[in-house]
Amino acid sequence: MLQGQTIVIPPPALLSRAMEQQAIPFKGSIAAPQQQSVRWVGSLQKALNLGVLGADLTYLVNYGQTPQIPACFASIGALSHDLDLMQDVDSSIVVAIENGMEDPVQLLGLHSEFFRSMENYLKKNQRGDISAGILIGGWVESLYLIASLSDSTTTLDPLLAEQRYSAQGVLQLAKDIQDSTMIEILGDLEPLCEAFADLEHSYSFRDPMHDRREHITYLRSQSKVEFDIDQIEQLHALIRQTRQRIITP
Amino acid sequence: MTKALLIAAFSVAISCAHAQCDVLSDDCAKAMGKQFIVDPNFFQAELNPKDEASFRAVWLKGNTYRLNVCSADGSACAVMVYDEEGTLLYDNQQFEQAQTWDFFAESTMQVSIAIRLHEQSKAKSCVSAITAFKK
Repeated sequence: MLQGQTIVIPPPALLSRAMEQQAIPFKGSIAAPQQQSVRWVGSLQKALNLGVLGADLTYLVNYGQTPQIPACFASIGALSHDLDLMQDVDSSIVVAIENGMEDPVQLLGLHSEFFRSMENYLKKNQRGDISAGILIGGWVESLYLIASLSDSTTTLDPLLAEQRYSAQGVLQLAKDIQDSTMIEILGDLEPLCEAFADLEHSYSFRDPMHDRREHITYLRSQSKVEFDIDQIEQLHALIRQTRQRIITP
Repeated sequence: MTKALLIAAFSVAISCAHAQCDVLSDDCAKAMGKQFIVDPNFFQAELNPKDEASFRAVWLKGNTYRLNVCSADGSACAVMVYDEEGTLLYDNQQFEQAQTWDFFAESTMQVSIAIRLHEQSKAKSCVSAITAFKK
């Protein structure tokens, strides 16, 4: 069996939608400062921050922050050009995102198509480290957005704790990257992923239900990640630290 | 001369296999339909007949995911979904070898998705697996 390293973790678009669905007010100050994009050096640091900005863009889109979208997308475009990733991106997607759209769902679709085109290009050219960097940056920024919006009035902490399921895969991806930037980041990312691994988790199997007519399977097994306030506070601190390490030029 | 031809033929075969992979995920993503947003991160591998490839995915509770599997040789792949304990949750052999199927996650789940070429496939082929979530 070919045991692929590939993990498909919840994309930032889905995580930011979960935040928006809880009617948590928009907080513009938490997105990464875009003017730093010109100061990031090295391919991996650019890739990580491309992931960060991609997650920020989904946050802006999900919250309908149309005026802020062009600046964020301009930084994404600049990093993508620097990393030589635009070859497979359909220019009509870029134009459509730049022009902005009223319908956030349509815009999320374009955002996804933009990043998928780049991912396809990276796979074709066997630039797995850059691909992993984008994924890791996007994951850390999604955690940061969730943690920054989480307080006693929200129910975001369970969503944060559930990222335990992604943490080990993300850590493995990071460890496979041979780059001095990643060695530094692992100093923060590893304790973060270990803190996730320390959370108790339970799983109980229930038979799935298949609907042949609708071509859908209902997965009914139940899982739960347990946490206490100290563990969540520790996670918040580690997330802030890891994110800061990534975005600091 | 013969050796040179063999090397050339081998190189062409390799580049054809890569070319198959290059466009496969685009076609596979386009088939997702307008109700779904495609996850930019996707799985792709070149498989030999009888090989099985697997990848892991995390599906968040309350969401409907669509899994679409495409092979460059156009044949229907075998697709299995397992839970974190290795229990089989879905096998497309029981559903007319469907290449597109939806999954609703009642609880956040870590799943493993395994793919094999069609049992009658004789040659190596590229396989793409794309996931998407419902808008």
